[in-house]
Amino acid sequence: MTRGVAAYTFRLLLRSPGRSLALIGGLSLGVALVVSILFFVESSSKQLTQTAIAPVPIDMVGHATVPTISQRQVVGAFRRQPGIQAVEVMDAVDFTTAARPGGAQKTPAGKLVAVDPSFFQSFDVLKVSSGAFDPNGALVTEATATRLGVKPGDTIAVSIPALAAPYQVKVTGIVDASRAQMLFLSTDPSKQGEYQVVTDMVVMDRSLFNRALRTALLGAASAQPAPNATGGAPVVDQQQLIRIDRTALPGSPAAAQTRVKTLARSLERQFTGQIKITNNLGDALGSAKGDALTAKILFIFLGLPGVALAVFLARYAGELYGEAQRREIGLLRARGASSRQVLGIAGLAAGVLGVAGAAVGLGAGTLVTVLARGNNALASASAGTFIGMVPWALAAGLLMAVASSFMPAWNAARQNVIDERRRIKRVERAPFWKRAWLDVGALLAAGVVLFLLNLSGGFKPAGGEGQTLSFSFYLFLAPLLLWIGLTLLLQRLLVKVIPLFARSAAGASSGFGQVAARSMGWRANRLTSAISVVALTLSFGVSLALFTSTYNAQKRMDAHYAVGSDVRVTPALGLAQPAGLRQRLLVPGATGVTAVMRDGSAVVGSERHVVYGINAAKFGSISYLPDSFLVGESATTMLSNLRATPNGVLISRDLANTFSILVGDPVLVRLSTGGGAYKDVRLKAVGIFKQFPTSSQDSDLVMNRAFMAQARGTTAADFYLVRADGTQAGATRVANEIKPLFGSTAPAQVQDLTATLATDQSTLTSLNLSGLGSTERIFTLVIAFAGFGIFLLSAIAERAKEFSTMRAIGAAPSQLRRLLAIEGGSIMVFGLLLSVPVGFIIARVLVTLLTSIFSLPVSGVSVSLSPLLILFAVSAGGLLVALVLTAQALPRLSLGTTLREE
Amino acid sequence: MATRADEMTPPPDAQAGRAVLAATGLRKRYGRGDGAVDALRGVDLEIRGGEIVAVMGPSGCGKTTLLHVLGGIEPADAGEISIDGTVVSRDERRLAGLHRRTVTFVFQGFGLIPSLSARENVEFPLVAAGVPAGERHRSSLAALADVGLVEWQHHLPEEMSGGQRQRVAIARALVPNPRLILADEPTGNLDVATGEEVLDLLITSARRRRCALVMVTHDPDAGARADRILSLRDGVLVNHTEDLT
Repeated sequence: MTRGVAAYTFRLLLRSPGRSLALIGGLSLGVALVVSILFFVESSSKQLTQTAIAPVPIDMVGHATVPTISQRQVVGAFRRQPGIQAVEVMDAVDFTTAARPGGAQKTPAGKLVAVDPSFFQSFDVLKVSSGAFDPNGALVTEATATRLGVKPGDTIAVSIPALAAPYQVKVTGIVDASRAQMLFLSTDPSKQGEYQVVTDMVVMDRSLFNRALRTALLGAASAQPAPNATGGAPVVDQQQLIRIDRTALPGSPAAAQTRVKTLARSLERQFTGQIKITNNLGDALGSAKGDALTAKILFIFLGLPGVALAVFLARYAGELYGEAQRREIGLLRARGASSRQVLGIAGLAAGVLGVAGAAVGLGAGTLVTVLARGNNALASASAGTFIGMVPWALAAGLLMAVASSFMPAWNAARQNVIDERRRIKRVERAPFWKRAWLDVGALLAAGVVLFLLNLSGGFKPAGGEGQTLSFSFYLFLAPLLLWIGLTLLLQRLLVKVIPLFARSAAGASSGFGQVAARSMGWRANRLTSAISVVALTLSFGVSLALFTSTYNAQKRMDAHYAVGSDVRVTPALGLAQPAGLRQRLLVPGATGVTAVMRDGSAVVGSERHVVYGINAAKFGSISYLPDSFLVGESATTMLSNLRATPNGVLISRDLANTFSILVGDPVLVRLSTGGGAYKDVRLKAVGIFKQFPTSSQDSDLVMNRAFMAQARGTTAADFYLVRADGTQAGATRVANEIKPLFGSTAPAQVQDLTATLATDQSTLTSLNLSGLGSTERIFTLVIAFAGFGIFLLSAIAERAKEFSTMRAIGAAPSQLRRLLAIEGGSIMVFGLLLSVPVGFIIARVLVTLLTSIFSLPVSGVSVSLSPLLILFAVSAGGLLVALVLTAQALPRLSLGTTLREE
Repeated sequence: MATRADEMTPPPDAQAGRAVLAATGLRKRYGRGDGAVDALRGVDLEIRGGEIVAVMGPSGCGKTTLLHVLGGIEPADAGEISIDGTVVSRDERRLAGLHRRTVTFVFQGFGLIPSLSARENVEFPLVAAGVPAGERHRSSLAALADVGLVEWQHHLPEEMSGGQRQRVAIARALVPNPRLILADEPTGNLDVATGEEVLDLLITSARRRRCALVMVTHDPDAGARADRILSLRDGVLVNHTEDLT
């Protein structure tokens, strides 16, 4: 019995090769899209992993919790652990101050660290900028050298609380420790994840440390035990700095995190209670894990309409042979097959088609990925990647086969019975969605979801730097419902509009134009399907193009907002700035420089707030201050008001709301003047802002720099904003020109757009969506091309008799081609025209998702014309090719056979 | 082997007219190998101007094939067709061009274009021939008037009865002023009374316009109204009957 069904099914599939191939083609298109998106998700996951771990200089740090532990034993055990690439030992001791013997200058508290010479090869966190690392001396950081005015060969005295007298050591070199913050990650549970910023460091060889200090320090430690048995830090912080083999990490952040966590646990287990591992890499991957999940859902969601269109296309293609299928089912029933057997055959056929579609789609998806993103797209894909795709491709193929092949057969089988029952009276009913007004319902539901999400703050960014974004999955409901609603509404409206249009066109034309117009009005239903496929496919491309361009624009805007301009230069804290620094920053490529003061300890009311001092005359031309950042005034007016009012101040909206401050109100601010002293100033509110460039978090008040400098008694700027040409490349060029200006004498942080895009924001914003864009552009073209071609072929097949009659009564083949061209051209034009508003509406809702990702609210869709024009040009070209190819079928019509079929 | 019977005395118009269409040695085969069917096996015939000819024979004898081959719908595998003395069967373009001006069709299933109104259906051959709009309009209305359907000119085929549809098809066949109308079972889809009306209309219109008419029919009464009957058996013309009018 089962064998009979199977044999019949295979014969059925082979007997109608056109139908089988059409269905496999449609299914493979959908599977290929799924596979391409999965490849993109896979590479994005890898990119997220790399972005997350790139800034981590030290993967793991082992902290000895007991002073007597054998570092040699620990290092030996750790180095033998598979997956570990390097282990270095570091001993760190807090010092209260360092000074030149007999000198007046002293450093603030700092760290004395002892490492082996191999440390410098294993880790890139300390760089000897002058002199050398000598076993008989010590390196000092650039900040310490500048503060104390020491150079290699000088001697310094380091005061360590546990020692009776300052320890004197010869300076053998200067070390750049700007990347060394992670050496001193806080071990305090309440400050987990925070760095301990240390600018003054003395770095010495461990052999010297062991000889000169270890015994004395450990002796002091045993004399003064830690405050509690487990949590207190020993006097000598004995660390093992661990570098793992990052190349062996899985691409997915979640899997990579699991791997490094397991590794950290296995390291700790070897010295239970003696070593505590700080897993820097695990923490970084933890933040990327959530982003990767969000990215996965986002990308799959972005591709869903394409998959739905492919399913529709497969079904549409299958329907070309629908009559044959219905006849087949009728014959089966007439021969006594039960419904169950008929459905068994249909189910098995769908299964075979689904598997075949999955196999072809897997290959096609791989091919499209290579075509869209180049050979490198698969460079990192392993055999496991491909094997991992198989279940997804199979699931997609089978699901789509059920929708496109099994369901119509099921309907046909059911219809067969219903037809028998209603032989006398056939009832033509509108489809369920039309009767139930599902289109309007879906659109209303989308609106409600958007409204509720706005009310509940679903669009507000919940994550900060290095944190996982809290992303409401309800966000995806709105665009999904919108897409469904628009698709159905389009069908409802087109069916009404096409006959009206056709009537007007027929009235305004004559000859074949009129014939074509009448035909279009007559076939409004079919035309609606074709126009919908073309319009929705192109709108899918349009919405993705707009989404990508908005994402890129938002990414740049966010970076500009965080940096303040194209480049920000922050001189090291507490160091005297070189004279004429502002002028020197005007390197080639820089178009303007402005200095900014910052007081992070100012007090308004009883709360601490951040006050910025800017040069209002220049700030507007150097920084990026769009009018949308400000409340009620343009940027030009607000900055002009500030300039005209020496004690004027711009206030953040939050602060203005908190203290009920209106423009014109006086504002009393206590500015810090250093050493815990404050100076009271009476300012006047001249404007309110929502955001202010230079900081994504803490701009509370912005005042005139000159007034601020006078009040605080210092003219030293906290940072400088440098304007280049606004592009990422321009900013990098200018930053690269600036960096050498400082050398090792006056360290500064030079932050440009590229660096900010890579580090300062959520890893989600670091993704390159162009790969997704080009992949889905190919699918847009293929689906539109196939959909259009299938419509035209079906139009020819359905109207074979009509076309044959036309030929018989005098129409030449070229005239029939013209007729087809007019109808096809109308579909193209309608499709292209409709795709713009539909794509724009979908893109508008899609970009609300971006609000959760970026610091700045997304003000609207950013239209980049060139990708849209390329999309339209390529699609129009593809549609024309489809038209020309299908028109070739017209002369091949067998007039005699067709006209006999009365 | 085809036989060519002696021609009967044609009606005055036909006697006066030259041969509109002449065919010699027409052969047509469908399929290949063992399953191949010879639909026409060397048919010779001549249709004169204004002549009404009925083609009769059992089902599957090749009547429709003959009509299709004569009308240029299907090419003959062998043989020659001339229209007004010009051999056209070897040149498809020429055949199409001449047919468009000379030969029109009436089908059993009417062959109306469902999206076009009655008048637009009638106009279609003129549209294809590039006739200016004004002239098309006048001619189509005149043709519709001939078949008594002017008031139905704006109706779609689906809004009309079978008889009305066939009358529209007749008007469409008449509108280019053809020399020959080929009608394939013109009353096959109609009831007896309507069929007679339509046949009357077709024959009367053809005679009035001095246009030859070749109609395939199973109906002996219809055949009885023709000037000549061509009997076809297994792709061969077996007998030319006398003028029955």
